[in-house]
Amino acid sequence: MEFLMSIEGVKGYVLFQEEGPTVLSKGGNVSSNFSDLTLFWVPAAAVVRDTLDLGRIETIGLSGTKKRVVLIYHKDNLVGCEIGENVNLSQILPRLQEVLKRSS
Amino acid sequence: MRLESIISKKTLPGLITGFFVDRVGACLVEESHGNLATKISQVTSLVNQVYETVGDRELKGVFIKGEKCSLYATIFEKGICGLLLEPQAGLEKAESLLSEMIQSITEAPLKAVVGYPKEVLTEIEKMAKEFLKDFAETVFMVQMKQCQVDKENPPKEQIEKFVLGLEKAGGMIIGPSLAKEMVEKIRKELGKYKI
Repeated sequence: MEFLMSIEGVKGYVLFQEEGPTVLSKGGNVSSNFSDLTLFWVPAAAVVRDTLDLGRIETIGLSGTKKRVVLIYHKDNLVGCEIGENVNLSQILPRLQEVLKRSS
Repeated sequence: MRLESIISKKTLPGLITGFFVDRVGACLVEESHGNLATKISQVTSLVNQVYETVGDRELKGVFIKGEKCSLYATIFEKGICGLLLEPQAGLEKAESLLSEMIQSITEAPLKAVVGYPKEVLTEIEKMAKEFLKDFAETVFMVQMKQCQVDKENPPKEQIEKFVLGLEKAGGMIIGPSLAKEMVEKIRKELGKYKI
């Protein structure tokens, strides 16, 4: 997953097992609470999906003024990326999806 | 532009509906999607809880992209504003529509809140004590906090939510029948005020 670091705006990444908080690999720099964010938001997103009938979840994005976190379901894993400021979710998501698609 | 017009204008291709849920859980959604209001209110309550639990104040925007549709919501001081989007909706335009919605709420003139006099809370507490005895103080405090009741000038919506909370919590302590009796007594007292 080191290729993710070549995308402009990606500060770091973590590869999780989809159904658990187990970290398979990581690179670059991510916030110390990155795993906590994943641990809380992934099950919450599943409840939102069921309540609003969103269908299978493809991506979860969290955004602020100084950082963004993106979690993408990829094969049997969950790829988490921390994105720096000045890059919006709308800009980074298509790039990440394209690169992940090419890698598979 | 008023929030209602932004929500109903459908300026964004692929927009199912925009919504705003205020801090007491009241949901404003496009009229034709009124049936979604309760579900949206439940979802935003969960989003708020996770936001508070995680404690990362920086991350106020939540985007969940599903196969069938997506949710994009932003937490701000007045509540949660959000969009339900079809898969083809452009994220960039969605981001700017969300900003427009938040701006319209932030800049809206404050509505005059007509509420109960603060003494009503003392009356409610007195009645709660009659029924809940030693548990009254804790239940009262917890519900006050959860419903974010304005102690000085509690608006009708807050008091209604608060009384429902007392009934629910009270039911677990004294049983549903007595809790219902307590709430009927409280409502009778509230009926004395012209709000």
